[in-house]
Amino acid sequence: MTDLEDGVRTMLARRAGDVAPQRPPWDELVARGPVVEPAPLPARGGRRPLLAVAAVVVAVAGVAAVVVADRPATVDTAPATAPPGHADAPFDPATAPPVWPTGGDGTVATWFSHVNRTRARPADVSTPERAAAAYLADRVDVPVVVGEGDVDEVAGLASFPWTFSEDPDGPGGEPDEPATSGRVWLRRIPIVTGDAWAVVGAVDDEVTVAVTAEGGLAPTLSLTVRATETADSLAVGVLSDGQPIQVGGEPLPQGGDDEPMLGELVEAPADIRVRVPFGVTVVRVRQVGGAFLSVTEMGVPPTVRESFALLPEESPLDPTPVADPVEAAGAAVPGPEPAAEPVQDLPGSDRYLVAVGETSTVILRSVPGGWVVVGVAARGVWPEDGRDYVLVASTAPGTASVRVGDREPQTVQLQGAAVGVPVPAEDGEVVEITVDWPDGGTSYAAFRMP
Amino acid sequence: MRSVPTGPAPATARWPADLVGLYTARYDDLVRLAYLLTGSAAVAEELVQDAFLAASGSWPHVRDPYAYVRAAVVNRARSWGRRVQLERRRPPAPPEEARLDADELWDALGRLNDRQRAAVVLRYYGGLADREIAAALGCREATVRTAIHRALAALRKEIDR
Repeated sequence: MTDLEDGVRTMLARRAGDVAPQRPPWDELVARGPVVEPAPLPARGGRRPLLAVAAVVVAVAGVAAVVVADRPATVDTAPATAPPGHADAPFDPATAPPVWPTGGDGTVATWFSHVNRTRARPADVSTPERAAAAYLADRVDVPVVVGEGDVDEVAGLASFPWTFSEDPDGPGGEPDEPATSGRVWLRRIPIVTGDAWAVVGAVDDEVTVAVTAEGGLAPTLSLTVRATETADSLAVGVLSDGQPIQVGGEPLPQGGDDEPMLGELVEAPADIRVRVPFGVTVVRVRQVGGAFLSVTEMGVPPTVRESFALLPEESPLDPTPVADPVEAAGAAVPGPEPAAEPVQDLPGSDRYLVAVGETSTVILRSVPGGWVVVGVAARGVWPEDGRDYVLVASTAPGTASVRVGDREPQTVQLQGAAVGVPVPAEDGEVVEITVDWPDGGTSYAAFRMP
Repeated sequence: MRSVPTGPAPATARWPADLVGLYTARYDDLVRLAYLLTGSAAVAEELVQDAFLAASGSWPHVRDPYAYVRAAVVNRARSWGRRVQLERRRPPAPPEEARLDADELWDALGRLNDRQRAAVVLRYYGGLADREIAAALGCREATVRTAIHRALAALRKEIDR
């Protein structure tokens, strides 16, 4: 023990003794908020009307994965499998789900919905350069330098390299932070107020994250996290709809109120397998050495080919019961004939499913006298109700036609994020959404406004 | 999401007893710790209160409650320091009352980078081992040792001027 250490210890004790804390009673403290409810993670629901039915939809999706399709999806940040024209992207920036900007609850869809409704722009995402800088400032604590980027205005794609190296002349003398570097990818997203640039992925040169998603009754993500020997500790976050899913690491305590979770400390190499709800899952891995030094982030699309309408309520599309459920399903969807499979019971609910074609599934409810159709689900489409708009979210680009009631349909371009269609919907009106996908398929979704 | 108690039942009834107990028992300690990290008693109180409120959301999964809240306080203090630094575009101001009693060591502490300052406070005020400091700061033990070594060198250099 040196004199200096003794001096530091004495000085700190004396300074601490000068403070007279004024502890408010706990009741007063929680009354002033903000407070996060003491609920197990990942907590879902109760945040906005759309999510009120999310739990049911998850259950529906799980069964559908067996009924219709079960296609694994894989995302890997290791370079060298880049599609032509997108530089060294480890995924396809043209179709990857956006991961930023996010709203207060962390969901990309919510942010874009907010922008469409309020015409507000919480972050400057008007150019790819500004969006990249804003994203890195949001995700990384240290001041990174954004390098000269690769911007393809025609394709609406961009990527930028970034680096961080602590200033050796800064406070504290020689740097004790390691240098980090990486790249961030962006895609132009059309919104009501104009174009916005969304981040669709980022990598840290020292960290490799491979993700394999599997559908089925229990959708899972398998993460393989590798890092170089010089990399610092890793904080891993797996988020579904902005809510963290535990990955088995040590929780990293919150550093602020703007992030629901900072991640869990995981030692690389790590192999992580977690169950996830249906939907886009965001995987975020950051080097953390007292501060977030880097970011690797990607969105993993759902594995099943079908997704399901988030029905505002179970108002039947046609309240007249039909004796045969398959016949009822066939009448609800134009075009293809309903599948011959038996009606699927959804455990824990009074709902039943019938697959129609390859891109739609009808949700029915048994009522006295037969069956009523309460909704039609479609691949990659989430219709959300609203009094003055219909929100259509999609994990892949496509062309959607939205018809409300008997009015003229509107055509909107889907870019892998939510798009708000400003169509007032009256009580009881039927909203129909038809999506033409680039691969030639067509999906159909419908629900009745409550 | 906000939680404002309603009805006559005390709000404490809605919260884990060990959380409220920890708050009662260790609040003062954590405020003093936060004060040493920020140099501001008012900011310290605010950070500790926010840390407890935020910790309540993760409480069912916390293995070591005191270590968790302490780390949350340290992280919040460091985030606050970085924010102040960015807002002012200059190094953090020296701690309060620095000019009044000309405490060179206290002033020099305020000029350390945020990780070094946190490591020094946790080691010499908190009495934490390297492993515990590493857990609180979210870094490796070797990084803690390096930070403290460089911090002491910087402090010595400052007071020798």
